[in-house]
Amino acid sequence: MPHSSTPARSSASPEQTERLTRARGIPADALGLGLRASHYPYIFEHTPDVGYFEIISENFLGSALAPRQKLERIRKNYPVVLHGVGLNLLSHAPLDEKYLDALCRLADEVDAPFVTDHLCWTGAHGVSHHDLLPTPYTQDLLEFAADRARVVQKRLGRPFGIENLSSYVSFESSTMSEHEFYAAVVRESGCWSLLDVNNIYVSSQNHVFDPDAYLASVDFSRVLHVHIAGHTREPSGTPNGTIIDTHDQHVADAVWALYARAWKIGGPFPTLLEWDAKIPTMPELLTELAKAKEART
Amino acid sequence: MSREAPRWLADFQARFGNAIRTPLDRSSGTLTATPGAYDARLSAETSADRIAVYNRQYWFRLFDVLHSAFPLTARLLGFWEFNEYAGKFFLAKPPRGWDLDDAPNGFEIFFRDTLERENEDEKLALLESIRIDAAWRSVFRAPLTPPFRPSADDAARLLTLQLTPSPSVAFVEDHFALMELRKNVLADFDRAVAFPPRLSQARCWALACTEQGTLQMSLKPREMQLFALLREFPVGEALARLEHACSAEERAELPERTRQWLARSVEQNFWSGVQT
Repeated sequence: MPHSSTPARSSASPEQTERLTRARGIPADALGLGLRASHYPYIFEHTPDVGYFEIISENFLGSALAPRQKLERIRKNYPVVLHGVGLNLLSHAPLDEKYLDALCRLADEVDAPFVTDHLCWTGAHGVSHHDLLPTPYTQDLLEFAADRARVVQKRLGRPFGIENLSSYVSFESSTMSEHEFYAAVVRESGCWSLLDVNNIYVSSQNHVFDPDAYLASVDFSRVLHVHIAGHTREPSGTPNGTIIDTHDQHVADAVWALYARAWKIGGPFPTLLEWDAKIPTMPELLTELAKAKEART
Repeated sequence: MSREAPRWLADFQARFGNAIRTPLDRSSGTLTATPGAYDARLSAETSADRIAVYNRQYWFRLFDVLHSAFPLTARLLGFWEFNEYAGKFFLAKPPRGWDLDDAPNGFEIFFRDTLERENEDEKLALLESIRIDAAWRSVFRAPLTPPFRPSADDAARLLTLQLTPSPSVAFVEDHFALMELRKNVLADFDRAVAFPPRLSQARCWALACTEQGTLQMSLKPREMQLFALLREFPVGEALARLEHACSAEERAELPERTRQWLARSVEQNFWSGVQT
């Protein structure tokens, strides 16, 4: 797949940099981990050197005692940012007010510097699929999405970051590319970006586009942080060999390479490793996360 | 006032949602997606194989969440048969809210009402197993509730009070050593388990989620009976009913025992308040 070998560095004004620093609330070069339940014993015993943790918001929105107690202990030693999978931003249905109320309370409780969720839909017509689902990308949906994201950010009273989606299908009715749609929603909403480099790579393979063209469209002065993760290429099936965003293995070399190019264009930015299935030990995770430092040089 | 959704969006999402909720095909002996069943108008550029990814993800995510919620039952029944009940359940009751952990709500009743098993002991073990799984689930998901600590006034009129059970405590009877089996299942979820034989005498347990973590406490049968009565009746009436159920020999020791049991139940946060 062709890509430019010397990406141009993004040039943010001092005002943009200042605004971004304030929005992030964590150091620009911080390295973070997605917090998963299997990590608790190690973290509580060793207090590993992690710049920040990202929690899946929905795991802590309820009032169950056990998750809340653990989160409180984590919060004492680390900054915690919120990452949701249930906002349902692109659903035809109205935003769930109760969900937003609970999300605001949680963000306040952990004093989250920012909150993020995906540019996707998860449920419609009263049914939740608990998956991050794509849509056709059109101008009318863009305006709708930007408006909803703006509402969410206002409700939260703190920066709201929108994550680019990995997907397996695309639609003939789209009138713009995914990266055009994503960049425009971030820009028009006045919200922020959670840039998932693995998602760019996965979608670029599944839909055959240039991941560097995607990177070139990103306004890095609005990137709160960057996600990296592992994926799985299905051995058979579609002619192109579908890549599934599994988060269950090491970050692929091609993704590290793309991350390095993103850093050259838009770094520094905080970087977070997601690992959701077949989760290795904390020391192994930290070793994987440390590769980000190498990729930055 | 927020902008309205584009008109095409609701229709698109109905079609796509129907496609990914298409039941997986079991005819080959494995669970596979069924691209032929997808609405062809859904995607003009993408092959149906790609929609199958979402179709499989939808179902396997739900199977996983049900296995986690009812691990003993899933293992005892075997994943293949358990997933058949799971599939029917989610077709009848697809997930509605943002919380995936709510998706299993109602499965215990569905399973109890639809379970078919010729072997009577196996059927009883499965029904008890899903009760135990459900009890653990309710305890773990219980909201943070301050425990009941009786004031001097409460203590003085204790017999007239009805104790409010804490949502973070549950009581279960175990006729098949299923509590122990569940612990083994959680330690090694991939290992198949056999139906255990029936015990000569049922074991009684209290399950609780405390600030120190989840715990299970062994109870005497009469102690269990007392707590069951206390969930229904004021303390005085519960004690009277328990006494009535006891033999003359048991009655002699009952006042001291019930005092100990009640004290332990308060100490272990079994109650969250009182009603007069």
